[in-house]
Amino acid sequence: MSSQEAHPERYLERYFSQSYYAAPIAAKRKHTDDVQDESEQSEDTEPIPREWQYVRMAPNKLCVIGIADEHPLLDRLKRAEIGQIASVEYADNVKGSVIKGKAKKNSLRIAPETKLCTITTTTGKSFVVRGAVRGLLMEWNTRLETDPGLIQRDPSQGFLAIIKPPTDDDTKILSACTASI
Amino acid sequence: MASTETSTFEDMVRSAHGASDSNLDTIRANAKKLAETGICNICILRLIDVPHGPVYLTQSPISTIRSSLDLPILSATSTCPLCLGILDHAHSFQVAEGYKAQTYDADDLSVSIELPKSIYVREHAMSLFAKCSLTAVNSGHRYPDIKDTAKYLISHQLVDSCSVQINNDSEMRVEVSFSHDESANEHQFLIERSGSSIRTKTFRKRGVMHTTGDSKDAVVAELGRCPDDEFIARFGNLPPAIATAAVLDSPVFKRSSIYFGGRYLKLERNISQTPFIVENKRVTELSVAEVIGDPLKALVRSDEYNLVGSGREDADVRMLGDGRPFYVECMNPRTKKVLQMDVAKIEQQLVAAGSPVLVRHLQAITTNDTAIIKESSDSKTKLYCALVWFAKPLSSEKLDEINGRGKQGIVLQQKTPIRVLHRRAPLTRPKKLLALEVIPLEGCFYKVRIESEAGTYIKEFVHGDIGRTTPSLAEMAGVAADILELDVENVSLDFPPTLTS
Repeated sequence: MSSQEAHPERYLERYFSQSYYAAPIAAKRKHTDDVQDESEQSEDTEPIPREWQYVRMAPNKLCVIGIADEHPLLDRLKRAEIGQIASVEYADNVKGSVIKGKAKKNSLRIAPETKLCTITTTTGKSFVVRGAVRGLLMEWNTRLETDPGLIQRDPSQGFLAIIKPPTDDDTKILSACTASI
Repeated sequence: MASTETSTFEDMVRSAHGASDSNLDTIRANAKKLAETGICNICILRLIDVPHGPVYLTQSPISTIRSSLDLPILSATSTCPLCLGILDHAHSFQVAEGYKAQTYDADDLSVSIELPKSIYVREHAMSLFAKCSLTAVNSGHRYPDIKDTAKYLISHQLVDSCSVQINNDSEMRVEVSFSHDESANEHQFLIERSGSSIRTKTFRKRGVMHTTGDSKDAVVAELGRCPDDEFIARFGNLPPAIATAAVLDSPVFKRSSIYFGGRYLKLERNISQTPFIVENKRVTELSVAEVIGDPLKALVRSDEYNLVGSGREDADVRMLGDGRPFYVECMNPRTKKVLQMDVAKIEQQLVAAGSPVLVRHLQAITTNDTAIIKESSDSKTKLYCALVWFAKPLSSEKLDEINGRGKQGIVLQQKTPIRVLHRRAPLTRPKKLLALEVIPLEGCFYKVRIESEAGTYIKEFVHGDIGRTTPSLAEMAGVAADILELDVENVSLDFPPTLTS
């Protein structure tokens, strides 16, 4: 009973199989404004925290992309430093995408590195959320425009996007992801 | 003997043409000229404008007619250059035998004939010959053509040997087609001539070349447009001799479907409504369609069947109460005269065998009735009972709050559930819950009763589909919820008519 209370989200395991994605470190470095020497890099004592996203795949292969517990935004120890989410700004091409009809023609094509949105916190930190899998964009979470705090309160309901891969092959779908961290 | 048959022929010609003796001589002269072209006996009869009748039907009177007209006997192996052997009686027997073998219990049928395009070209040539070389007896009257004659011969044989009647609106159709490779391109000159109205398209499909645009209607239209002298120059003034006869393709027998309606119950889980096969493996061992369709298919001896229910439930959901209305369409049934007694037997056999799928009120229904079942799947409310788990037991205040809201009815906004989003359009659908009741069972487990509008996704209402169905039971309870088991308890529809016993 108590384990159920501690992990009320465990029931989701019946519906989704979970993998993880984090943008490659080199790519992340490109977006930081700091210019760091190679030498300084080796002096870092603290590894840069990876921005872990979850990829929850349903039996029909649709993938729900969201912020994983291991992401700095949800790390309880970092709460003071990171702060609360102030806004979630989706990329223009995401906001403007049209997803219509059963055949879902003209939906936006997403790749694992594609920027879906930028999350900004009250302390001024910003995080980019990426596609994580290749496929068509089925849905982006409009609730986050008016209630960005949902991500930290309930990372499941605070998902970022739903993507439909072009293939049924799990290995191909999750090629940029990892099973556990 | 010969003289009586000759007089029959003369009587027949007289009655057909209101003939005087001078007419009869003209007709004989025409018949002689026609015989010289090498066409068969039946074609001669047609072209001297003898109406369809007994004289067409068996061989002997005609050869006697030949001798009475002093015409040379045709060799048995030569093929008529006009009808390409299509009017040979053997074909009528073949079609009738084929039909008999199927043992359809139809009272009437209609016959349709499809002929090779070259027939129309050759008929046209013959009509030009008749125009110039024969003396008209009954001007303005069209003599019987090959298609009508073939239809007459075949229909007669069917009526005679299969105890059916001919009815052009019949639900039983006999489709007869002939093909003839040797003359397959005889109509080509009509496509190629300058000013032709025929436009063809050639394309490749799966490695094979296809040509469209040169349909029979197009060819016939072009024949009408082609001037006579051009036609004679390019094709000839007579149908040319031919080596092979046209081939009768396997006759196609088609009958309109028979429909059965009823209500089905699904007493166990893991049974899909229709066969559920993914990558050649069955996902569920049984399907409702097969349990009900197989015995019906055997009863009416149909080619295939198709089950349509008033809505569907998932394979892991039971269907209880008085069952879900459905109909089964049985295609091309050999037997339509079924007794309700035999239909009811299927119902009884399922019960006796302890089948997890049962039927109630199984009966034959009309085509129009099927519309009622189709339409109802969107309009009728359904009653459900679910086994639900909450992450924390609910306080009694919370329980009362939910049940209070439930009594008043709730309107949900459901985004297309993720589990079907790959095959359904993304849409937000408002759905009404007419009643909701949550009953504690033990600990975190509760029984939930729901009455909802057709098309409501119950599972998503319980767990909320990560916030995409709102309000959800989880949202109302303030804790995560999951649905463990679901039963459909009632599908309200007054169809099919309740049968007693």
